Amino acid sequence: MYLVGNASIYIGLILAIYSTVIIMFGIITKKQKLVDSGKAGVLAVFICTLTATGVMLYLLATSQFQYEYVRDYTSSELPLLYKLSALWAGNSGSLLLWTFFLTMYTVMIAFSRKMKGNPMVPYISAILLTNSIFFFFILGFVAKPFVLLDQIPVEGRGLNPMLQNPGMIVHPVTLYLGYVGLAVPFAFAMAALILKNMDDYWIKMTRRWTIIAWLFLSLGNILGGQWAYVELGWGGYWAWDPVENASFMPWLTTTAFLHSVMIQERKNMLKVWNISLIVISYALTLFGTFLVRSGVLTSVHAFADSNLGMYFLLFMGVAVIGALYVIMSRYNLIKRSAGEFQSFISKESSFLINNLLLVGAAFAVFWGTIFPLVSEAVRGTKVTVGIPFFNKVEAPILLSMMFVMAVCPLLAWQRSSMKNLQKNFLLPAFLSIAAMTLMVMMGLQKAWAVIGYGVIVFLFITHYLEFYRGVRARRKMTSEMPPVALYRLMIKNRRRYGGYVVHIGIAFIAMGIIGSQNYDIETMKTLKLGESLDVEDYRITYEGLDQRTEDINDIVFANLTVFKNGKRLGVYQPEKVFYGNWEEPSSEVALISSVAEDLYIVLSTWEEDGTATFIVKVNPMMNWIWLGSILLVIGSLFAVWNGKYQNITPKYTGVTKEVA
Amino acid sequence: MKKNTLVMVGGFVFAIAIVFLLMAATPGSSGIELKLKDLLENQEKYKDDFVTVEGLLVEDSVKWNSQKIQLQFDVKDAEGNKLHVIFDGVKPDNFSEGVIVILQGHTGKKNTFMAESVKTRCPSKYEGQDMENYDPELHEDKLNQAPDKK
Amino acid sequence: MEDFSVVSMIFTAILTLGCIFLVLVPLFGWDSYFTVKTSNSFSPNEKEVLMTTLNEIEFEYNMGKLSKKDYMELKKQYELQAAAVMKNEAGIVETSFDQKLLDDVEKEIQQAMLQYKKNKGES
Repeated sequence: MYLVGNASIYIGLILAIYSTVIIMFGIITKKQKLVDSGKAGVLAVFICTLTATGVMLYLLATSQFQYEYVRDYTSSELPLLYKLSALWAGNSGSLLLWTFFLTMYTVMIAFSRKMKGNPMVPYISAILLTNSIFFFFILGFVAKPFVLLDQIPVEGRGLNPMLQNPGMIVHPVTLYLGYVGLAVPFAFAMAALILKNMDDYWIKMTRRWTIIAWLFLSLGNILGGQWAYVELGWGGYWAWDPVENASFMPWLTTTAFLHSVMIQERKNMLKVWNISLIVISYALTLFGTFLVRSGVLTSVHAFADSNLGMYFLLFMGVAVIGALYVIMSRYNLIKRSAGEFQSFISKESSFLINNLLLVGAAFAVFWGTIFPLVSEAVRGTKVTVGIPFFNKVEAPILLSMMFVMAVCPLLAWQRSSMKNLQKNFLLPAFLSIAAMTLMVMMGLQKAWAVIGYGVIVFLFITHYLEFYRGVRARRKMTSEMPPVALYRLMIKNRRRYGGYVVHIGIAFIAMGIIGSQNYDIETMKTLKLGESLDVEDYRITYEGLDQRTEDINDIVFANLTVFKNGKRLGVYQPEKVFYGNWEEPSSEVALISSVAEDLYIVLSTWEEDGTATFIVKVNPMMNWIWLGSILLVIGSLFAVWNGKYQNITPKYTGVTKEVA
Repeated sequence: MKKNTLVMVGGFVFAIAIVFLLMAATPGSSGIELKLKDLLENQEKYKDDFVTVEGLLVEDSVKWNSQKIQLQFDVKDAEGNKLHVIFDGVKPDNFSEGVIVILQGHTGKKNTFMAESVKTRCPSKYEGQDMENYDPELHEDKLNQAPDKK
Repeated sequence: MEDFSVVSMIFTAILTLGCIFLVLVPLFGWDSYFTVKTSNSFSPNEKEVLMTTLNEIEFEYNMGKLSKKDYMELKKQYELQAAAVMKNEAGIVETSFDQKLLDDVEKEIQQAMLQYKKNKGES
């Protein structure tokens, strides 16, 4: 297997180089068969990564500890699923997975039915293949996945128990799918620029792929947060850590692109801006990988000082400079025939504000992430910015973002008159102010929370009205029954209504975030046997401490009886797990979850005499975050599902001479 | 003036506003990162700063008061400089000899440090052996795991 | 320690040969010269685009996002464009707008809109 694994990587490298060269040569000499050979090469490259990944999974599953990677990340007693998931526990394995996804996407595009005969395909394939070359190079010479040890160890070192969680099986995969997915719009953009052709079809295809990447990126972030919440025992889900920021930044810029490309579609504007957003998003994925794997940032992540990150930085540099060159050389072309703004109150201007906010938010995250590096270079001391910085900066930006999101459905393309806006504004504004008053009367004190919830109420109302009025308008034109009208309305405008569903999902997530960030309660207390502790409406009685053994792990757990408003909820057991093959114990929290709030109990330490220390948190509205995430997935799937490309997008030409 | 130009100007003003927001937020929520030695030598100088400092744990020095929920311990650096730490919170999970402790907080009396957060960096023998084959993501948890006190 | 077993050698050989085969086959195939086929890269005709635009404007007017004045203005603008396109299609080359002709074209647009909506409703 050693031979097969390594051979597949080197053959893959050679094939990727060959295919790139032959496609370029075919394009220059206009020989279809050369291009065809290159396309077959794309498939062959994919077969190579498939083989390499297959071999790796086989080695992991059969615990062949003579391989360094298998020894480092698995052990024989591990369940099969976690043995396999060790594929993305280490550097070389995760890069192998990355390469696998990249070549998979390339095949999907090169042999896509919808793209058949499209002159962009060879260009896109060549650009994606160049990416694959980089990854094959890394796999072949820097982070080799198949390395044999001198001696066969009896046992592997085991998988970090923190990673032995269902969330950790899915989270990295979705995140990688999102990361890699952003290479696709980049390739599309470059191909379009080289071919000097950015037509509607290009926009539709690019958008579709971007939504897919965006969906995976969102899912990756959410699942990561969810994992942190249930597994790490600190009661939070987002810590503005460099690793998290690395995936949040491209998410923000991609979201911006998804909106601004609509302006390009309808008004033929902002082409340079859109291309830049694609390039930036793609570059940020590479930059994020550089941050995560290079060790330039001091953090508790204990980054290894491997030079792997440097390769990513270098590759990013090459990609960005290449992209800039292409943009510059085509600048006159994309600048020509640009549309114009006709009114400040219009959908396009709201999209523009949304773009500025999103890019601003991304920049703020970027700033905070690299600030220690910059300050060290400039002043010599590492100045750190913490969670408060991010919260302080991002909260107002993202809140204004929510506001723009809420107003957007009230606006028409091209122009909306103030009068109509006022008319449409009145009811939602009145209701949300009423809601805010109600909140204050009910005892909500924090200004940010009240404003935040007010904006969200506003958003819900405008989105509801959008659906309602849409149905009404459709009925006026077609006189269908309301449910039929709603259904037809939505499937005829998948993108628009899918987008609205995503907005509502985001609103739910925002509600959860505002609630859990502003109204969480944390107490810490050491209890003797039989003692109780009161938090909010809860009374937690400490009944006893016990121990059990599962496989090679020892588990210490406390029995707690929980009462809410005097009603017994049951016995819950927060645990501390001591692993047989891992030095460090971990906490399994006891979680009592409801629509209104989560009760989150961690068993911290205990003494000889049976007293134990607990950390108890009440996190309001956590479930709303997960609910919103589900809506977000449904909405994006609805938007890309079975999309018809023959749908024509309305165009706005601006004021023509006949009228003026 | 063309509306496009106006929109451009508007966007520019907007961008400046965001940069301004950044500038305004940076000093209030930033701290400095120091070497243990520098901190001990210039304790006076940094007394108003929010400091991040790293050190190796001296296990014998750990004192845990379960009733007050207060943890006291010493950290040292490779040259033997010692710093006493007081932290109102619980022990991180792997609090054993030689673990690298990352402290955030303010300096207190001479050679003491009032920590607001105590985090440990993985000392794991597993990773220690072959750092070049080591995945940083593996340690996402280490950061978050530390009880983040408010 | 390296297990150069027969099985793994066979696997590697199959992989290598398979890949080479895949790549080489197109080279010996019949060479159709590289032609830029844009069949799938559809470009909707101008008339249809204008129809969709008009449809959307009407829709947004019905939803109360556009004022009557704006609606009429925009409608007029795109109808005139549509009229020009349709006139070109009909092969009539005329520099000034004849009122009667304009009315005819208006009617034609109305009809085309109806047709368009019907298609959209059914498809």
